[in-house]
Amino acid sequence: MNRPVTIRQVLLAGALVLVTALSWAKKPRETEGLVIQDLPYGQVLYEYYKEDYFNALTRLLVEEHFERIPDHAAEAELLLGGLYLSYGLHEQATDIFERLLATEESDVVRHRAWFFLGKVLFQRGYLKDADKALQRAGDALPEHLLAERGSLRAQIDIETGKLGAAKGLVDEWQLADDWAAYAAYNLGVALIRENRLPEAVSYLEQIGQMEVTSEELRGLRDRANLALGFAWLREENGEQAKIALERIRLSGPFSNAALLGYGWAEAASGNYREALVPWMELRERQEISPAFQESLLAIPYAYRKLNANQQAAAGYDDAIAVYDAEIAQLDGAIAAARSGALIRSLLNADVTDFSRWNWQLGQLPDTAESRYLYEVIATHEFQTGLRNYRDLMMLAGHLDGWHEKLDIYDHMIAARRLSYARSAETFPDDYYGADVAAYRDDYIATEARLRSIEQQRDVIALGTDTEQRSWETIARLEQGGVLDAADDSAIAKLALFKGVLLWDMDRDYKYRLWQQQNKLAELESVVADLEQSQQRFSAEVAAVPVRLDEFADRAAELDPQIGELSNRVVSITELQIKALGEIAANELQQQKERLKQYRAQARFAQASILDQSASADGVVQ
Amino acid sequence: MHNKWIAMVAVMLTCCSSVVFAEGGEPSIDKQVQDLKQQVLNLNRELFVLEEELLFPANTQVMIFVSMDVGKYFALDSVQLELDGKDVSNYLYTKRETEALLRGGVQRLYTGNLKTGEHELIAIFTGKGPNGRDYRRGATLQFEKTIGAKFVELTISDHAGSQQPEFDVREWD
Repeated sequence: MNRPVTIRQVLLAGALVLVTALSWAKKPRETEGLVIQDLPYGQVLYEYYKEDYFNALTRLLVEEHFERIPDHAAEAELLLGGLYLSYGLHEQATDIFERLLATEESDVVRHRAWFFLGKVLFQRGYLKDADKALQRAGDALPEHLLAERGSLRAQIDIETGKLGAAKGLVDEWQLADDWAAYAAYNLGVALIRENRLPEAVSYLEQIGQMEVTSEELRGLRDRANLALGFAWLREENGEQAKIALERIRLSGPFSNAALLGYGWAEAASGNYREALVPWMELRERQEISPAFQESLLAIPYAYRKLNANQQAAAGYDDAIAVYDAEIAQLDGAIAAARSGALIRSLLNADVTDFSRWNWQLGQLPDTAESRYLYEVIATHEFQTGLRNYRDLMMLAGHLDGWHEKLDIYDHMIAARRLSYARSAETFPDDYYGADVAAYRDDYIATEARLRSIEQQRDVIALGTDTEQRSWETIARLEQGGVLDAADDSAIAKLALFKGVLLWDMDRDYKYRLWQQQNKLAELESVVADLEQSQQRFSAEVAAVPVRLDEFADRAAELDPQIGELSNRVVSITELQIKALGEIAANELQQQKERLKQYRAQARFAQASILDQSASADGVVQ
Repeated sequence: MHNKWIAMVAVMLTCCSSVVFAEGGEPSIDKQVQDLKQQVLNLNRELFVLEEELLFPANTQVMIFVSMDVGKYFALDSVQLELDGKDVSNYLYTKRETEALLRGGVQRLYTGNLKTGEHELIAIFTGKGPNGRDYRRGATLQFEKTIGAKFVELTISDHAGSQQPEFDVREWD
């Protein structure tokens, strides 16, 4: 009974996980074509579109800290809420959307905030509040959000038993939309549960016969046909059941259940020979699935109906042998699950890309016990636990990375301190400062000289070089006794020349004073700039050790937090592994109980055959 | 036996539907994981801020971003960056990354420090051009670094007229 894990089994488990993930954890199709006004905001979107929610969240928080996304403030807040929602931090998401609704005036933002608040409330299970919020989101949302809103509202109606309202919502829809297809499927199944098959048929038939291009929708179409097929079987309408079941792909994840159902559909019409065909095919597949296990009982049942009691008895023998072996294997698997070994071997085979939140297992470890995990893995509870585990692994990876980086930064800070100390030794104290002080002194002297000129109205001091040379020549002539020998006309000419010179200088004095004052103001500005530069330089130099101390203090404060959180990651991971083990053990126990029931039925049927046979032979008293 | 398979049908229906419906309520481990995630996020933010302030002070900081518009005529494989004659980045893209770019995301390709003054940036884009042919093109930018952070964007877009990709480099204020 030690069968290798087949490719089909891997596909089956993967497909089940895929369908589970795509139903309500389906990622929103964000607004595209948004004009990016701040590049860092585009970077946040880049991480988000990669589905790397942790890094997108961190990046957004960092960019907000540095105030680098001022032109996307309201969108950034909405995105932050959406990211918290995608990352499973529902309380934080709720706070943000409620805050936006309290403060934001833009209708566009408010409509979206109501939508996302409704979505997060739905995920938290507050269905009435979620519905109110979704209604308040209005009809002015972008198309893709409108579709998701309709889907959420329909789901709320379904879960609160308002199937009529859900029908109203789904009926208004165009089925070209994926969300509408999911909503119609869910509604159809809910109607079947309420024994309203005629109404369910219209929805499930639409999905079951729709033209699809994606694997996701092919899976949904198969599921709709399966649900429809078994619903018709419950009504004992084998012919209708066959029509639905025939539409299911033979190679798809629902093919085993379809084969089993098809056999029962034939059996319902009394066609036991025909029923054997799909059941034999199913038995040949030898896959661990409820359908395969069921087929082991169904085959001898059909033989018996065909009065082939010998083959029926042999079939029950085979079934009991398989069940015995499976039960023994399950005992081992349950023990391995409880000890944690089964989950650890499963998790060790996990893919290494932890950044994506929605994921599938690549391949299960090829052990006897792990074959039973395919059903377990598909459960919502196990998926939630597995997602937590992956999140924890990702957190551990980040924390380890930071721990190593902080070591490097400590060394870097120490190296910078050393470099600074060496520079301080080799640089003179007045480096840069001395020249600036000399410029300031020059300015002060010039300013005093100009003030004195102005106070004394010293027109000569502001004369041109030529004028000043002429004035000095006149002074020399007047003082040197040269004029004693000169005639009157020469003296008169000199006096006239002196008067003209003085008149010219006096005439230009005000303009020249204004010019000099302007130049002085320019000089003051240059000196002030130099002083500011010098002050900045000095401040920068003086701040280096302070800043390095600050960096060192921050690093020292953060380092123990890394250690503390790493320890918590380890302890919660252990709890999570244990919880996953319990989920697996409980699920495996249920599988075992089911097999025990099958075995009991096989034994009962076997006894009945023997009894019948004995009666026919007249042996029984 | 007949009753048995009817019971089985009910089980099958439950199986079909139960994986689709969302479930409410959070077990205690979920809550612990949520709290932990929030705390690590806060710490991560502090560490990133510290790292940036330590390694790339605002006065000397330069960041180079990559964005794509449409991408009909070009499938991006890699971008190589040269800054003042030195190779500073050679980045190979995954499918998920190019999809994120095509949806409007902007990738920060490089963060570094530069002195004030003139600098030269050369970006070499490789990938598949029209008709799936190998394509390699460069774009150059001479820019001045002043005091304060400098952002540069490398943009890949489609030129409908020539049915060729266009590669542009521009500075952001």
